[in-house]
Amino acid sequence: MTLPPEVLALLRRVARALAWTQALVWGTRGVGAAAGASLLLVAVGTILPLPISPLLVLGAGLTAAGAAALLRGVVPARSLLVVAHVADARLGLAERLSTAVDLAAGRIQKTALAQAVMADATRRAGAVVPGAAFRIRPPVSARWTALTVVAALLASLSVGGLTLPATPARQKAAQIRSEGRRLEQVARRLEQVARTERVPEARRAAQQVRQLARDLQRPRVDRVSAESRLAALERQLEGTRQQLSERIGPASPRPRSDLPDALFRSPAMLDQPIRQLRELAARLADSQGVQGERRDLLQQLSSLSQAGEGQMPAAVRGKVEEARRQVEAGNAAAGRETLTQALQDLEALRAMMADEQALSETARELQRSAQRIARGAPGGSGPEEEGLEGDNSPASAPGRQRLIDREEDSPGALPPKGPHEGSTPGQGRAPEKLGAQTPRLEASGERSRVRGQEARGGLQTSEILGPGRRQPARTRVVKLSPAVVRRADEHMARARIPADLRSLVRRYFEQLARRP
Amino acid sequence: MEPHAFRQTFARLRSEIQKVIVGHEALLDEVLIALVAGGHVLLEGVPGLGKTLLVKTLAATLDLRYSRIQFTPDLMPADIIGTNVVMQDETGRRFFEFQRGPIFSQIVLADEINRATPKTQSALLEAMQEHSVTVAGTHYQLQEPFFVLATQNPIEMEGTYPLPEAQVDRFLFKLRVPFPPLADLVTIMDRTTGPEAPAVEVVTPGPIVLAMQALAREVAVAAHVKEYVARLIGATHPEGERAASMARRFVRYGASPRGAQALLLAAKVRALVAGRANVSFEDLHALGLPALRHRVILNFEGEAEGVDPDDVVRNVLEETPELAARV
Repeated sequence: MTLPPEVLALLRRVARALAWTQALVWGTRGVGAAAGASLLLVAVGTILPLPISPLLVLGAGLTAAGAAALLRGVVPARSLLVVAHVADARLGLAERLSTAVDLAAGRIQKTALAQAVMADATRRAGAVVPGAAFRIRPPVSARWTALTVVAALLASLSVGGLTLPATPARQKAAQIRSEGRRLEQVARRLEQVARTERVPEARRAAQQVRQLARDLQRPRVDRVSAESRLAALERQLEGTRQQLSERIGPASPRPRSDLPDALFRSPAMLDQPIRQLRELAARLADSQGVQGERRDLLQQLSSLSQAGEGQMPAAVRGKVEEARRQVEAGNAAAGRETLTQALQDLEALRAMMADEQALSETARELQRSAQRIARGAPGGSGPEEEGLEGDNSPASAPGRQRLIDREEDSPGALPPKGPHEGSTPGQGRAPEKLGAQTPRLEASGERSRVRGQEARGGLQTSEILGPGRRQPARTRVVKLSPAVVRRADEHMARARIPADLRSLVRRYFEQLARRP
Repeated sequence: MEPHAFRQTFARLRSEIQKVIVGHEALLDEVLIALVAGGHVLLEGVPGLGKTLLVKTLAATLDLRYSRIQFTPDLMPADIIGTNVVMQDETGRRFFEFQRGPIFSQIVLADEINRATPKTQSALLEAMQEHSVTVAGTHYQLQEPFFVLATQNPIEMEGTYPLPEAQVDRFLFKLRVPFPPLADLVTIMDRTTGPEAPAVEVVTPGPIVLAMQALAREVAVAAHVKEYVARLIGATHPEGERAASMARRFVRYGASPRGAQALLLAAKVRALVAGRANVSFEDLHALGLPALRHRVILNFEGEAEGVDPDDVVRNVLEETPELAARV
């Protein structure tokens, strides 16, 4: 026995109406819960620094409630029997529909009057109009829910960021302001770099960092907004830096080794070639010099064009070689012109590298600020920084980043606390001692004891003179960080090491890097 | 028989009886429902309200054998059922012959049933339940339809014997005959004090009544409606998990399974009368009081506080949700 089409149509219509009515109830409840949670977060946020924004909770709650309600409305999951019960009750059908559904489903035994039941249900289903009984209307609580949402919205906008005195939230606000001051210094440094290096992106970034720093120092800046703004600016700077990096990529000098490209993108390493090119261009401009020192010029141009791949880009070296050939052919003016072009290319490349480096350092500063705000302790070393010694491979970008962070920490910040810190050599809290303390000098020490009170009285000092004891290093270098290699390169470029010795030092570090 | 014919017959029967009986529409419907459901009725009311007249009129409209038994304290079971008497034939040989009592009718009026002793009251037990009588080891089947209507006076209790629970449980309905309203009283006076008494015609023969009874049993009942009946019966039991509040406090024993049968069967008849082929909650609500009021046995506290079993049943109907789960 099957359910008559009229009955089925009525039940489906009622099911849709019930589903949408329940969807409204669900939606109202969900929105109310989200608004309530948002209000609660606003209140708690005056005491505790919360990692989530009340507005975000409200928005997410509204979205989730809307989605759930929509899903409930679109997918009527009620069984026909339940729908029949409701339809019977609301339309006054005296259990005609539910009895028909039971008969059709075989839930009750068919009797001689089963057909009469079906006919009766069909007749009544065709005559009944469910519109009034099943009108989709919002629940009674919808008004209160709307008021709660408005209250949550107003509270988030007006109370958000307020903190009570002597609470963790107030401490967090102070820390955010402190980070704002620090970032203002970062912006100042960045502006100096932009001014001296004439880098456009760094100049723009400096303005943004300064604006962010000022915003962070404003009252009622909560943790969530501070972190989100820091992250947003960091992402923006990182994006700009990547664009620069892509532009630099093919033009940057690159040695024939497995070392990463990033190691050869320091603007300092281009200073020496730029100076040499300037000097040669100046000498070429002097026609007497060309005539008198032509042989020496050719030799210098030749050595410059054949310099290591890690010193100058291939295109620049090509132009230097072209200038050499032009000079050799007696066309000094053309050689000078070509050399000037090579110099301009190199200077442009250096500017891009400086821009990229400045952006990279600024992004790191922003990241550091965000971490400090999240951790709650200035300069604190999180657990993620422990065990970094085992993760210093060039392929591990996060590990390298953290290592760079540690090495390039700002001067004003406290050094990170290590796991084996101690004030007296050999008496730290290291569970495994490296060995007994070894004498550093070829001299015997003088043991003396000073009586008195700390910070009072005179200072007694004694000097121990003696040559340094020659002994091998006890800590063997197992694997060298690429960051150290890069730092060595930078220092080598700054320290004006002669070219022949520089290649020697470079080889030394490259050998170290190749060790397993 | 078709449901349409059922309704017509029922309506004709009702209208014919109403030629004599003034008012009491609900009472009349319930008596007819009990008749079609195959049950018996206990009519309770003060004298002079027309109980006996109702039964006599009903018997007159039905082409059925009718007998009236006036219950008195000295009435014996044999006076109801019948007895073996010694007879003598033409040759002088003596033999026993069973003389049938008034129970061997199809409509039996047991007037003032509570005036007879329990022993005599119990003589009706087998006849009411089994529709048969056993005398001296011989089984006699009563002719169908068999319908007992008993009356009792609720006020005059002196010299009466309250019906035992087992006896009361055999009645499908216990109906209370109310005092007629003023307008009905005037009409009663007009009809009964005139020169001609109203006459009724036979409208329904016995086989039709049997066909109506058979059709009533074909009425469909949805599963959740049956569950509701079961929950109603459960709610009358004080120790039940879902007992109603008044039942928990004032009831000693709740309704028996026979109560559930009576309620559902009567509801089926009412559904047919209402033009439906299925039982609704409304049928159960309408028949809850007559079907259950005499099956709820009050405890001492209930008796002492004068609790009316009707209030207990109403409380059960109010506190028992129609659907077990909220939809």
